[in-house]
Amino acid sequence: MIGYEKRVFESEFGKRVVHIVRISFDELKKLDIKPVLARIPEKKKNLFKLLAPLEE
Amino acid sequence: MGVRGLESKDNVLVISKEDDANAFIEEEGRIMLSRDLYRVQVVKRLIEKGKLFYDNQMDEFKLKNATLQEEAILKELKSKIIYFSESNEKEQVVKPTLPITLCSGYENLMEIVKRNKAIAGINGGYFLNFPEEISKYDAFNDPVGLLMINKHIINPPIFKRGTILVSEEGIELDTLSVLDLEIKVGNTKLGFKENSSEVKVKLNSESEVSLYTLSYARNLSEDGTKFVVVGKSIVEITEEREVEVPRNGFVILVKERELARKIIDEIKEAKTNSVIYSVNRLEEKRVVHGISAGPILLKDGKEVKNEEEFGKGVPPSRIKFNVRAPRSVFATSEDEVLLITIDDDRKTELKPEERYSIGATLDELIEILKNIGCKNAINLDGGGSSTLVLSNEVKNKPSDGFLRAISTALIVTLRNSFVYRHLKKFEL
Repeated sequence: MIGYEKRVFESEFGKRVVHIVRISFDELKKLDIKPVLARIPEKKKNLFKLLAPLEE
Repeated sequence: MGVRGLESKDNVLVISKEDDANAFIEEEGRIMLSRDLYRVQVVKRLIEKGKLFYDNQMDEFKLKNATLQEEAILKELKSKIIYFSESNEKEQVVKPTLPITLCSGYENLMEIVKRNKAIAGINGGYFLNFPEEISKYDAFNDPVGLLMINKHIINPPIFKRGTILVSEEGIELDTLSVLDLEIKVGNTKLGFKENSSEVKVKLNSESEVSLYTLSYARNLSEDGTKFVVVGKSIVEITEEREVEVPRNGFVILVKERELARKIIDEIKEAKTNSVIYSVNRLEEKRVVHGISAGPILLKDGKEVKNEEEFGKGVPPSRIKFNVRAPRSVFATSEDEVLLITIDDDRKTELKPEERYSIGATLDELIEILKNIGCKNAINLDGGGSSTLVLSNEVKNKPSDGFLRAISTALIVTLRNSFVYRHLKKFEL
């Protein structure tokens, strides 16, 4: 089961709003939890340029 | 409302000088951050260069000939750029500008979740987000720490950081650093052991190869061939004596000329500047996915407080256990995985009872996690990055007021997502 819960914790400093997504281990058998990389600009240096100074 | 530091000219925002840019940010009631000022300056430069201009017909800002980096910075500024309509005599905030489509290259959590057709997602590890964190080799939004997807290490761990490991057996929390890596450069495999503040290895009992991170020095001054590595790429090979150590990478120093030539020849033959990483410990544990963040807060129900986990110079070097902020957490209980965020309206000028939510220190966070029933928990990137998405809906209130472009995320997908994606195509 995948559930969502919003809880509010009161304290002397003020309240805290907490958001919780719960996924049971049973449900997890059908699911993948995985990290992903966001799209970021390509910035690889050209290999030729990288080696060029050493060829001189 | 008058806004100091801004003047209208051809319907384009102009920020007249640096000091006034400061005033602008303060007047908007936001906390002054160096990255805000830096980005405002980028906008100013783009306007001056004619790269950013307002299209009257389309009623939107347009960008031409900007670099991907400039586009990425603009994306984060999209709700802060203001323009003044010529028809209004008085200065007036008209509307936020810059549509997301203008800025390719970077993504927020919602975009990541949608692209991956994920059921849920939470922001992941730390990334370079401040100008002072960028050396000439690094770039904004470069991820910090291990990122391993489907058994491939996409980004290496550099400093010792708490890490989530997802294996075929289950989920566990561990710490990893550059010392755990075996690094293949060309065809030469290198493993390193710590020796005082620098990391050294004896190769073939004759050739000594050293590895330097920011923990050693900001600049390296040694004779020999240096291979500068950031992420999975060699970004520079040099025999110059002085070389800058990347904030989020390392330099491999090879003193023996013959060995350096051999490695360079191997790189040429392989026709790639990529390096390949492996971690024996992860292979033994059959780890499939891994992502670093930190610190680990709970392990087997017990509190863990390791402030030494944070390296200097790169995020989360600023994190302290006693500072309140928006938080994101990955946790497990007896029978569940939990994705958790804590909101922080960051309105510290208000009375406690007037505030929507005050965020949490890491100590307070540990207490909340125990109350929720967590047994194992790790802190993820927080602050304005803190975002939680379920069923294509943002559940928390991100403190920037908009979704920040992040570097990595942790998502929940159907196990057979590849098949699922293709089925969906056929249904359409």
